[in-house]
Amino acid sequence: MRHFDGDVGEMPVPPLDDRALEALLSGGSSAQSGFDWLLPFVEELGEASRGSAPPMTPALALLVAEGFSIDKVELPAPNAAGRSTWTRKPVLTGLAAKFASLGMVGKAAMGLTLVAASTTAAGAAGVLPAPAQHAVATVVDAATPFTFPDETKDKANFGATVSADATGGSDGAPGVDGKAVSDAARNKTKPDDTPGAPAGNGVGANTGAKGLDRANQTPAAGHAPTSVPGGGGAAVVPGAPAANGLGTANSTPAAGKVPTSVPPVTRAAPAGAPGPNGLDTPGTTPAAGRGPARP
Amino acid sequence: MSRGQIGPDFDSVLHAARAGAPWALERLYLALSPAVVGYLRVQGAADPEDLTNEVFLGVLRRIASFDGTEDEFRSWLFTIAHSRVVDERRRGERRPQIGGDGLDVDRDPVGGDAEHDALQRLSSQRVQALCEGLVADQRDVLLLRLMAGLTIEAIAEALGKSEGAVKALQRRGLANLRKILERDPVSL
Repeated sequence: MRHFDGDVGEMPVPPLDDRALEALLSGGSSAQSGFDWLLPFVEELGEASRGSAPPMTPALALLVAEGFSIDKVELPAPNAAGRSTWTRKPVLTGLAAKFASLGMVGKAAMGLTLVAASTTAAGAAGVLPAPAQHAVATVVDAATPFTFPDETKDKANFGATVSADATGGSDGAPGVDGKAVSDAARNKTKPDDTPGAPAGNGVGANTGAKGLDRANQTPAAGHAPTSVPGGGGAAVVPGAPAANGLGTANSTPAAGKVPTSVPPVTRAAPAGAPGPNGLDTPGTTPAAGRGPARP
Repeated sequence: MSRGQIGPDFDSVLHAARAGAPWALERLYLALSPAVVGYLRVQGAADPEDLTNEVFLGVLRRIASFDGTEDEFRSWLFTIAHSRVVDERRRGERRPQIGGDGLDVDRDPVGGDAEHDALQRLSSQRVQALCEGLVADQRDVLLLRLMAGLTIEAIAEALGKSEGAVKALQRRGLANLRKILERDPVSL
């Protein structure tokens, strides 16, 4: 069939604006001059648009019969019988969907946030391993007004506390109660909680025979002195090797001439001196000076 | 011409339909599907009833996102229906044909007025025969304008053309339709 494209010999047609269209569609074409010829066509179109609704496919029938579920809104009273199925999405499902919709960067950021929050909570509860607890406590102490438990920090300060007590720096009275210090050291330290720690670390880890056992494993084991050189701490140099002061003793001119007696100690060790090992009052035991020199 | 309308109740019906109320979805379908199936039939759809179902399935599933008047809803509905026609044309499943298989009497339409449905199909065939003499763009504009009742602006949006282009297509389509009717007045 030949198509009329209207380019040649086009009949003049008045413009069909919205008002003319409404008049035409409502059957009032007589008021619109020039469109009477179109009325039969429009009526035919109307006839083609009337009739019954076509049968529904199963998918559409299911949708119309069941409706769909969205968050409940206020509804007017239905004019016909119908069922409504209102449900709410579970919160966790919604969160999971939001997480799934995040990009890689978003997921990574959320993961780091969760890890940081979990670590902080565990740090507050003091249930982290000692090194992690120390790290968290350090950060929290520096960044917030809060203080988290830090066993490592407590251990590190114990020797300095005893030293200060011994010199009278803390309370003005030189000397400490050896039993009290011993008890405190036992409470602070468990024998096996610092595996591999060097002997004489000043926090009570080298208690009793264990320190001697370690000393006997050193190259100087066969030259172990049976007593400590004269009081005044001359044989003990801060920063010298720790094990029982043997490193220092063997490097002095008097090496090999180990004294056989211990002169009486008449004064307490100076502040910061390696005197106490956390168990005894300075200068009162042959093991005085076992602890490492503390700057 | 009486277009399928809901009328003053449209706002409440739409509100309920947006919330998923089955009674409102059904009312929209019963009121507007005859016009849609007629439009699809005149446009030469291979299976206008099935395509009407597809159109309403898509519209009703997305109706929660719609907000507007009945005329705007009608424009939205016919825009989707027309896009389905275009999709079918592109797939080449069926070109508009004169006297197609519109009389598929084995169907059992909702409402069951067989005589009226047969007249509807006959009217569709006659209109379809007339429109065969128009180029596709002119036919689309005239059918959306006269059958669906869309405004020039809505047709422009539906067809992806400017309003000026739609007005030009409408003017040429009406002129050509007049030629066809004067040459063959017994078509209607």
